[in-house]
Amino acid sequence: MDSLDFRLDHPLRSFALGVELQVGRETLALVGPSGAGKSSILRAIAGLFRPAAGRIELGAETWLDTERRISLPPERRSVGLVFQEYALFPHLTVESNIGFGGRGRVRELLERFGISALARARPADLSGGERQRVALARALARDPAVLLLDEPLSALDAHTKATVRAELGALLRELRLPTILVTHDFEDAAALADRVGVIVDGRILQLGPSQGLLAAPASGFVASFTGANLLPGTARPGPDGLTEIALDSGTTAFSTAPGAGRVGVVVYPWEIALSSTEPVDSALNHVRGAVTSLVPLGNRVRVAVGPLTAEVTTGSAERLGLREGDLVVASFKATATRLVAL
Amino acid sequence: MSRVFPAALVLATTLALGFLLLPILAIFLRIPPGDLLAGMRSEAAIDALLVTVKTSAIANVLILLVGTPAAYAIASRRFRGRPLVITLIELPLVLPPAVAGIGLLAAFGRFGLLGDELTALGLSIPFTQVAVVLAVTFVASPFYLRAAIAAFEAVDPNLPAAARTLGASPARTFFRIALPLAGGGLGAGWALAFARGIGEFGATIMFAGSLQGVTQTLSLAIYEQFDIAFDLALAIGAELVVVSAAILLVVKLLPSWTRSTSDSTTLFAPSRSA
Repeated sequence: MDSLDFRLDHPLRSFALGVELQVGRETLALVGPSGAGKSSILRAIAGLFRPAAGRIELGAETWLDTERRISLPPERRSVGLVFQEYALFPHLTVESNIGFGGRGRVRELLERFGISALARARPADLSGGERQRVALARALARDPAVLLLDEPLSALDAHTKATVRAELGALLRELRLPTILVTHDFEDAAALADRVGVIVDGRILQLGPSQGLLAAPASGFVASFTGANLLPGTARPGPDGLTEIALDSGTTAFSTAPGAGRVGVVVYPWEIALSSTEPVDSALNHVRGAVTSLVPLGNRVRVAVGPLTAEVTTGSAERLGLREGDLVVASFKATATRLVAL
Repeated sequence: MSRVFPAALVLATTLALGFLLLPILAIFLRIPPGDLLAGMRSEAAIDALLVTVKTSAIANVLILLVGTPAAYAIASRRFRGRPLVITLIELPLVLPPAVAGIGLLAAFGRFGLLGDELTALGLSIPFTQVAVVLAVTFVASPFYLRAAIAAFEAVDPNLPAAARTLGASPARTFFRIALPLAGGGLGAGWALAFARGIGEFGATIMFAGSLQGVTQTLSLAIYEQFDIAFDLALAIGAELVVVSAAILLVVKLLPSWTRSTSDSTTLFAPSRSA
């Protein structure tokens, strides 16, 4: 199987897109805020947008080389692109949508995606999850060498999303095509991709397995994008070889990570414990504050305490009788913190 | 006092409807139905009908065949001077017909801009059926072009893009995706252009004249007959009322026709991307 290599440079409104990536038999997620240039990358690979400069190669085949003035039209690039809102043809049936790119595999794909019963339906009659399956089936009907997914889950409601995400993950593992997935949701990226690239203003800030990004975020932006708390402060050497950080909020935090000067203390919500009184425990960091919001997330509750967000189990939240306005102590160990330069 | 205002509303509505319908009714009621039918069967009326049908048919085929791809090109491309191009297309819409007539003569007449070239080719356009076709096309095509550009612009640009990534050539994308999705808007625009063309008068009489059986359309025949044979003029007028009403009916029925063939395109409305 051929890998996809590309380098793209293009000036956009307020920044310049500049990325260089190699995607093998894997799913690479590009995550970042909207307007970071993620969709432009997919459109450039598909041939729907020609960058000012760049090169796109699939194995030995050149799709784009601005220096050699090569640019294959979209229909000659072996890509399957799933659009954000799916872009199903509203005037064609499910069957005709899937068969648009290639008639041969329609029956097989209808069965593979469990939508045989919908063959004669039109897109307007389908649910969000069904539309996504049709869009995937249509993109795969041409046997593409590269799969591109533009926010494949953003058009779905939270309830449908979990199921569809699991199905999509299984499909991607089965296909093992060079796949680029664009999303603004780090959780989706972590769940679906082998590697995650955080992209901001057209540049990739950090690229690696999602665990790596969580363990060692390269910057404050990557840390907060992956869902971490980021507490700004000033670091100096503290007792016992720890780093002591005078947080801007007034309290002091300790970290086992080295750092000096302006830093951000990175701590993930699931590393934070809550208690109603100051606990006697091994955690060095205690932040007292009022609960400002409680958001249930399935079996967990996301609790905002002053500048911090903690995640505790629903049972723990009930045991503590947490309510908005309650004063609680949030604790986290110095070993659970990372420091990023600000 | 409280009864005056509702009464005024009823009176205004009655006046408006009466004023609009009276002339139309008068065409059918002014002379006995037998005379009306006889007038319709007269040679002058039949000649005028044949000229109108023939020239309108050719003009409308030209408008659709050239206008549709031109509108698609303008709608799907962004280029410098695009707003100017669209404004220039719309200019003939607001031009008085007399200006259109003199303009056509100045371009295609014997002493016009292209006069020498046409003469060299042995062609003389003014006062022929070709002139009628050109006059009708000139005044009617902007109606179609404008509606067709809007209809193609209303197609979600991701849909043709998706077709291309699925291996469709630009031509197949046009015929399978853009054309059916813009169909409702194209039909409505075409009905407007057809109606404008069939009623064309000013430009035609200046550029093509009013020769019975050659360039005399229904509209021109009414004008010629009304001081010679008023009853005949009425009969031809009745024919045009029937044709125009049929067109209006088609326009009114279009939205539902569109809905039955496509799920999301309605008249001039942007299409949803499913």
